[in-house]
Amino acid sequence: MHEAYEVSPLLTVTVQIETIAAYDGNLLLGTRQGHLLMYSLSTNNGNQGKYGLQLLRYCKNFSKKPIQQIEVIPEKNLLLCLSDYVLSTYDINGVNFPLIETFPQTKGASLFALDNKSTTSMTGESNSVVRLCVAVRRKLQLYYGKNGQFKQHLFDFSIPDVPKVLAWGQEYLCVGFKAEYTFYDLSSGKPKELFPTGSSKSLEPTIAKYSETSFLLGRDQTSVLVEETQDIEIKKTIRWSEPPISVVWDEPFVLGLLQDQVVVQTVEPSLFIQTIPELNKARLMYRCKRGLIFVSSVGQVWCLSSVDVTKQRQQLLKDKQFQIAITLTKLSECSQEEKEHSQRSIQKLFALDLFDSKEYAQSMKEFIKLNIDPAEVIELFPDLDSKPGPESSKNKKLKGKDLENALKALIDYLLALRANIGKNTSQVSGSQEEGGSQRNVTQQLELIDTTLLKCYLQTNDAFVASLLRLNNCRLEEAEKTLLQHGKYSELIILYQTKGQHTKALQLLRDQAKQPDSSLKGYSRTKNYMQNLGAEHINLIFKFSDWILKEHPEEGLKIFTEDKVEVENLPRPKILDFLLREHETLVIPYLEHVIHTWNDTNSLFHDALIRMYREKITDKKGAVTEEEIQHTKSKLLAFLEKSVHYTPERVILHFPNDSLFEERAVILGKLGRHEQALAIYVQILGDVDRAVRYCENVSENSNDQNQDVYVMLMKILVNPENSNALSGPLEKVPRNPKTAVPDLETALNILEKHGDKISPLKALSVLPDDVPLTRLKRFLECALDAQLTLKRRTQVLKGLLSAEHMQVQELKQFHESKSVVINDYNVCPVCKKRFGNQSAFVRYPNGDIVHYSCRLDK
Amino acid sequence: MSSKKKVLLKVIILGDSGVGKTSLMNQFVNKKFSNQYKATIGADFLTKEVIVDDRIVTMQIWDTAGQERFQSLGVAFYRGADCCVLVFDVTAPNTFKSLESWKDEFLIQASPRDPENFPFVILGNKVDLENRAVSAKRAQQWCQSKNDIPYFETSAKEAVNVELAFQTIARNVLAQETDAELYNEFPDQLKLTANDNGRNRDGDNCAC
Ligand SMILES: Nc1nc2c(ncn2[C@@H]2O[C@H](COP(=O)(O)OP(=O)(O)O)[C@@H](O)[C@H]2O)c(=O)[nH]1
Ligand SMILES: [Mg+2]
Repeated sequence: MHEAYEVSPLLTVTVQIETIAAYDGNLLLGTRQGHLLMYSLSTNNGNQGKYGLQLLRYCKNFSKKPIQQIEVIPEKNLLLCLSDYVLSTYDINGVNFPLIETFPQTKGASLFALDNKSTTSMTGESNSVVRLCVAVRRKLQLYYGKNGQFKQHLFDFSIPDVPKVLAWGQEYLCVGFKAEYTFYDLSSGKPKELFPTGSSKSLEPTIAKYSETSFLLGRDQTSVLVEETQDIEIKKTIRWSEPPISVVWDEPFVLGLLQDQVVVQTVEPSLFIQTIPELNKARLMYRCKRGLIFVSSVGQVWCLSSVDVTKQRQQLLKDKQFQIAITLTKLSECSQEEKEHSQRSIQKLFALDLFDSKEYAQSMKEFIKLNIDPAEVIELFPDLDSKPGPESSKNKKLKGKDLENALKALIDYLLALRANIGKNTSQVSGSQEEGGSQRNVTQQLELIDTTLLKCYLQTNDAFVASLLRLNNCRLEEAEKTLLQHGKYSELIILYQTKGQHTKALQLLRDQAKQPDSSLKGYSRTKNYMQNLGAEHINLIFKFSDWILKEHPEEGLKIFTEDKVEVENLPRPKILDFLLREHETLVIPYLEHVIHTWNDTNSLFHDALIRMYREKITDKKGAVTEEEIQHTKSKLLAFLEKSVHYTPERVILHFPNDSLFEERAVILGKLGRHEQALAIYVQILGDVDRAVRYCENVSENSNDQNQDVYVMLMKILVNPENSNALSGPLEKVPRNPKTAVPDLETALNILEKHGDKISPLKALSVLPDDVPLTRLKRFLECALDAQLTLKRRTQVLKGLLSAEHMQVQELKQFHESKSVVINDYNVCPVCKKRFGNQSAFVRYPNGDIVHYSCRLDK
Repeated sequence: MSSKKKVLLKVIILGDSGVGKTSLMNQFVNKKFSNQYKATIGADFLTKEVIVDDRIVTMQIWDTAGQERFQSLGVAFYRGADCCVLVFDVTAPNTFKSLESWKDEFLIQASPRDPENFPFVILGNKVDLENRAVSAKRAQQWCQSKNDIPYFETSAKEAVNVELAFQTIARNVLAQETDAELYNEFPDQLKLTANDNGRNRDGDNCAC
């Protein structure tokens, strides 16, 4: 068992010891005969305990009556002694303790209590605040001592009985009577009764000061810890095996003097520590200083001295009394550094012990306080430890419920660490060390998050995805762990955040075919690739292949989804890829690019036209008639609507034996109206269409000289002579309907659209034998139009010349004004004359100022 | 179940700095908006009572500094949160991209019992501005892909949807808790309610 104190028998005397006191290394004995003995304590080499005594002075004539009580104020060399029921002070240094003063008003005193807060400053000056309370019959006299002089308070406190014990608190005086304890408020003298001393009448009260404001009060077989706060509060109770005769507090131990023995305990937590036996008939106990307590009987004196802290600590650690070990270390006299060092090592042992006793949460709290390397904590979990090797087996594996609880505690620990790291990094700012500490932080985070991952996998895997996305885990370790747990879905997230796209896509491809895999099917792959972005386009090509083959429609969404990443993929490359490998998807892709994303790049427009064309002219017969028709109508509509293809290039690939209508549209775009019209009329035999074409052109074009109607008339009137269809279309069979000249239609057109046709040009294409009456309507119209134009122009001319006149008149009016400037003119702003060449300004009111003096500057 | 029970909801607002977290909170609680930008330091909360059906709900809304990815607020700060509001700025695509990180970071730090069903709400703020860069459709799509998180387009400046968003938050959290009948399982929450009386704003800011 732990030994806190060792006992040294010091003395056996023949005189009857009545009271003892001690200070520094000195012991004072007052006897019944009135002797006063003073000893000094010295280390003893003998085997009779650690210490011995040397008699310094023996004053036989100190008092004629028994010495009831003594106390010393060392700083003032003052001895207070109560003898013959009166209090006196003596010089402790003088031979035979010369008397300084007797306090006559204390006559009848039975007891006193001293409160000494003296301090000696560095310069040797002592500053003492001493309070003294003397119990004189049923009164308490209060004194205030300064520099060796005692001043009595104006009022005494009246009390109901003669007190047995007394102690000073901060704002209260604690008094033990025969029957009960009472606190007296020092400012008012008002009593606060506490509790009876015990159930049996024969018990003596005991008071031990626990701190400046708290006391241990004996009650039956216990000591009650009472704190004087705003209200008086009972904090705790300590048990003894029998009612103690005397109690002292010697932090962190409380010592109780029982029958022939002293028992040592701790208060928080209350633990039995030690019994010091064979203190025969001991009845007095006096604490001299920390770790030194004197005990005496009528004829014998012992001293209890604390065992060396190091030695105590060893035993305490063996007994797993970590708290006491820490407190003792804190109180010990070694250097601050040493203290902290041993305190840390104790705390660590404590934390480890808590872990061993399955107090995981408590244990982790201690580890957090210790701020130790998390690797050391993680080592406690062999399952989580990544380091291979024999040393990792030193901790045994946890199982079942224990493992679960331990992991939960570990998660809390790791999360707290994580938050701490955040706190610290946000405080670091701009030091040179930042680079280094940043690296350190990264490593710590890696360790923490990788370990968290392992914990979550065993406790709650709903957190795994989030954790992985935060991207602090170590790749290899995380990969291994996830594989072990068969977490493919999460593995993909890991690969994604770590940029291991090839691995991810390979895994996805492999898993896609596994019937019971969480990654079954193509949609994860599709989603994955939709997030990759332009820089990984080649990877996308490589791994999209299988989806495009097996699920072309859905697969195409890899390139067409409404997502920024997808929209920004390099489209020409995709087009190229699709053309090479997945030709059937080219049309849907281009349609999406052009119609949904409104891409105006002519590359795509040209390509779409080409794809439509090839589909229509496909000779392999793989396309149904219906589809061809559908595509044809799309092609035609597109050729008409799109303004972003390059017609000169597109037309080169159009066949000479089909797609005439389409060709006509393209020719139209090229402005080759004559050829377009020739196709409509001569090849397709569709004059209405040709007329519509003309309407379109003249409506949409600003160029009044298009003369498309004239061209059309020419073709109608003179089909043979038209050479619009030369070159590749030379040999295309002509439509018989329009092979013969059709003057009637031409004239109809002339009549209907006369206002848009130049009469001179129209007449030049008409054969000479057309009767004039046939042209009457047209010519009238034309004349009308010309006349209207003429009149309109005349009116305009008149208006303009009138306006011109007005402006001229105004000009003359202004020019007619003049000003004369001579030497007498002075600028009203700067009060100077105008020089020969100065520019000036004339205001409407007639003022003339220098140009540089004008107001609106 | 007593229907008139007073409830306190702890709501945490997260998002990149400058997206308008403080402004949203101010608009909701004080009906005020300022164009000036003052960086939030640490964390700060305001409370406001709302009435959901027949119940008085005190919303305790925690505003945070968005500069750090690691919040220096500590695990304790996040624990016991009833709802997390993630805010982005519809004119700044980066703030939209950060949402995922904020959500993950929150989940890890807060460790809610049921991470998959923890109530989040996404607010796309500053819709009053013209230079919008994140379309409603994209934001909506993303929210849908994340287990159907409710999405609101707000303007703290013009008080658009702010009231509605916070009302919905209160309603959803209550609905979820009623579903699970969790009232007695939340000691944290009861304790907070008790503390709330006479709590002074400055004195209690430190949640560390
Ligand atoms: N136009 C506009 N500006 C806003 C809106 N909300 C916030 N702001 C401005 O954005 C800046 C940042 O706002 P603040 O609330 O401090 O952002 P926080 O860092 O997320 O707390 C401030 O200048 C606000 O005035 C909004 O809805 N519309
Ligand atoms: Mg803010």
